[in-house]
Amino acid sequence: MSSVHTHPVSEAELLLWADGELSGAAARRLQQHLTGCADCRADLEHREGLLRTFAQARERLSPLTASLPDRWEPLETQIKVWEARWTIASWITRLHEISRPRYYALAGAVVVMLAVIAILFQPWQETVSANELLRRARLAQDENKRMTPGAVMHETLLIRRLSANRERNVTTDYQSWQDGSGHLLRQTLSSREAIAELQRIYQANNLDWQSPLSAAAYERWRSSFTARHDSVASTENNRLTLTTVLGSWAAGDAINKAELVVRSADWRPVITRLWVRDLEYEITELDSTVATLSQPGPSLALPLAAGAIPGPQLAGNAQIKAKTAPSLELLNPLQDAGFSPSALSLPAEPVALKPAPAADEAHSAVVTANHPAYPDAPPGPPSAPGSPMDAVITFAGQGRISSQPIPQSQLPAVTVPTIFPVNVGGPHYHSHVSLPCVKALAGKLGLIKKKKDGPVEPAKPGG
Amino acid sequence: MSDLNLDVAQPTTSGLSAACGSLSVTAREVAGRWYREERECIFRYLVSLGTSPSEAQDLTQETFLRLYITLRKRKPLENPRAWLFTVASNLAMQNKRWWRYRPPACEEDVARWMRSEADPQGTPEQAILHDEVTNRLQAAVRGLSRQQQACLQLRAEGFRYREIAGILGVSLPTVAEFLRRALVKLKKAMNE
Repeated sequence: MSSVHTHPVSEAELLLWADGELSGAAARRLQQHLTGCADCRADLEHREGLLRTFAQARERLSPLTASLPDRWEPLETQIKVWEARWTIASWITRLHEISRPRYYALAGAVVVMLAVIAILFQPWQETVSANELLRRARLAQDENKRMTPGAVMHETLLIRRLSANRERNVTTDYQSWQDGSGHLLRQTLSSREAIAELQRIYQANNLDWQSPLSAAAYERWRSSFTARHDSVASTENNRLTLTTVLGSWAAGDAINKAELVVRSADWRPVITRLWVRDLEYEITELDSTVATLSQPGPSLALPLAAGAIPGPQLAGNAQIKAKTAPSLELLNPLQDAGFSPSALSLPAEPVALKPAPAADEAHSAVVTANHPAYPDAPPGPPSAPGSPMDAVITFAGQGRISSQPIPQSQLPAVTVPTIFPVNVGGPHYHSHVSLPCVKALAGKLGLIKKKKDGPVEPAKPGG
Repeated sequence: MSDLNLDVAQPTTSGLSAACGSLSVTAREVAGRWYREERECIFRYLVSLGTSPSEAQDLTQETFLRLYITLRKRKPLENPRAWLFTVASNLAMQNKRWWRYRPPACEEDVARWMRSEADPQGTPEQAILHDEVTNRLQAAVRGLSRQQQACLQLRAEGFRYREIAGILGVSLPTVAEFLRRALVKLKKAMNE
């Protein structure tokens, strides 16, 4: 999703205006613009109206989100537990009960020690050095991947480009999926053209485009300059900001100033800002999830073999509508069955896809997976649709299912579901499974239309 | 309650315990009042961010315990309510066991609740329309990201946009972008 604001007022100014917090020349300019621009007036009224509707509707929605607890533990209980652990008075009391001479000796030693610590380490109480911040941030980013076998890191970022020339302001999405070794599995960008410049900047400055918030890459870039000034500041919302300003202002794609914002609690980077020429880029983390194939998570794509991503032959402007959320649940049996991402293979030939289907039309595409224990399993591209070896689950726009029955006796030994998304311009789904297994999976995913009476039935075969 | 700045006289060495005691009592009273008045709002906010109800209750109490600790340290809080939501947001985001929570409401429960919410004075057609709109809105809200949910909930709690930016630790234009995307989804759901 990309937006380029072409009006001489920014969305931030509209927000401040709505709250009555815009004043002076900016307020006069905005008022003048609103007087003459019906679009901005309508957008403003529409947004505030929708927000009011949500605020009112939220009361009706609340029973569906959660019931309020029947009983609240008094805050006093939590306070007493905390005080029992940390109150100095309680420690002093306990020491006093040991013996008076020892108490006075220990108390004196503690006071001296605390004074020394306070004098020597006062700066560390508020902030840390740039090196320490980057070290901890790097460890935090590596920690989950090391601890989780077969981890896949999914990152969703919001990328904004700001310029003195408002017409160059751009906002876009960025998503990436990486395996535990940092290998990029899939990457999407809602507005590739608008961010091609940022990608070039990353490459020119030896940053990691596959991991735009990488602390290791920031550290690498920073350490390549001796003439620089670093500062670390803490903010009220428990975050630390490292600012690096280079000694000289360079032209071209060179980064002259950069910031890395990390959360104080876990040292994870959440924002990166880069200043290049007259542009400022801000990359904000919207979501960051680490999961294994056995754990469902939002928008997780299955890992692919390195470099083996052929493009499909699309007829016209074909697009595939797919449900990524259900596909995550389908990855569980794949992992449980022992399928390894490295064993996956893509069709030798590009998959032929149909034009964009109508609402009720099923659409299909197939790829296969090889289990390491069954080297003779059906390899490569599938046989023609309707063959005895195929059982295909298709995901159409309405979530209908179509399947082609196959003789049970002709199924391969591995009858676990092998449904997964493939990065060939959009998720595709395929399954080499028995019909009963197809039905069971489709039922579990809610893909089969349930009739009030009678058994579950798939839609008529399509594709 | 507006600003919080506990003005307690500097304790002398001999009166350390007594001074700690009086500071503690004052902080207790203030934190306790905020706890009684805002705990349900914080709880609902945490659940909207995807925290399960049981964890949301724990995090709610943790939030107010931190308020008490901060008050004891005599740190001034210019906007205590925003501070509470900031802490709650940070606790929710740091919860490593977070997954998008989906309450186990089955279709029958939803239908039963819908009927109970229907206006007895309205026509059957109005009731059906009410159910459909709410159902679509509910589905659209569930499809929002954490940040989008957070922006909507904080705005519904009455925070200004600048405060929302501070609570979430992002810039004001970023808040504008979160809201724009969330409202696109809601508008689509309402108009379908």
